[in-house]
Amino acid sequence: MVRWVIQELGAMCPSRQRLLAWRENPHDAHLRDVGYHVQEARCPICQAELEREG
Amino acid sequence: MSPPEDQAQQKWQRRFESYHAELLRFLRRAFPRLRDEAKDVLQDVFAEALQRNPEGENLRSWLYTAVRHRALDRLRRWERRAFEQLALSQGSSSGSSRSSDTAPAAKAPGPSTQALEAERRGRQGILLSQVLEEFVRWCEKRPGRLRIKEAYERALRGEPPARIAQAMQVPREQIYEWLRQARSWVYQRIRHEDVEGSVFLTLHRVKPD
Repeated sequence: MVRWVIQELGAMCPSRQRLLAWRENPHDAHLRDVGYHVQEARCPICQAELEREG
Repeated sequence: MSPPEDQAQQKWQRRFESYHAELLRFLRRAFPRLRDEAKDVLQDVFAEALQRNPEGENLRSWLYTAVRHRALDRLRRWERRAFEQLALSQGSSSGSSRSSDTAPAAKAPGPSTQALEAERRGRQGILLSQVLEEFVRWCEKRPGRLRIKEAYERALRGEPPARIAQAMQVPREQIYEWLRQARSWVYQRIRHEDVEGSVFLTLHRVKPD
């Protein structure tokens, strides 16, 4: 259940604003959690969100 | 349909079609489980756009938001059904597959008990999702809480504290403290609605270090 709500419903996704900020500044210490969420945990929702923003 | 309504629908059809391919790509990428239903989701969004007529808004942005919400609605409905079926199947095999720390049932529960259990499991999934989303927003309000969020997400995804400490380059005691803070927040948030504590227990099964 936990896996389902995190991976498929995006329950731990960062706000869109922080997601886009991370794309601009991937080394910003305040956006480290976003880096983990997108790169290591490979959240498909956030990856698609970044793709659509080009 | 009267001519003005027909014209409005045609106008929306044209505008919507210009975004259709990219919305479909986004939907399939973000929600792989909805791959086969992606076109149905888009159809729902189109119907919603026709009804709400979001003129003046940024249409592209409105469409993406609507697609995301409708996709999550659909997944949550699936989730509820899946949990209900799981609960019913567990109920029907009661006793044979129970773990040793669960009190054995004297006999299989009746249909009404099973239905209640199924309903409870469905609510549990939705509550869990809502609480975690609120937790993330709470963490994002203060920079000091962002490391708590990362540590907690790592733990929820199954990383043991020692590995989290290594990945985040902090002492293991710090990880324990962050996880304690996160669990405390979650507990406070759900204790009124999750009377049996089942969501909390699902979240915080002890993981080996």
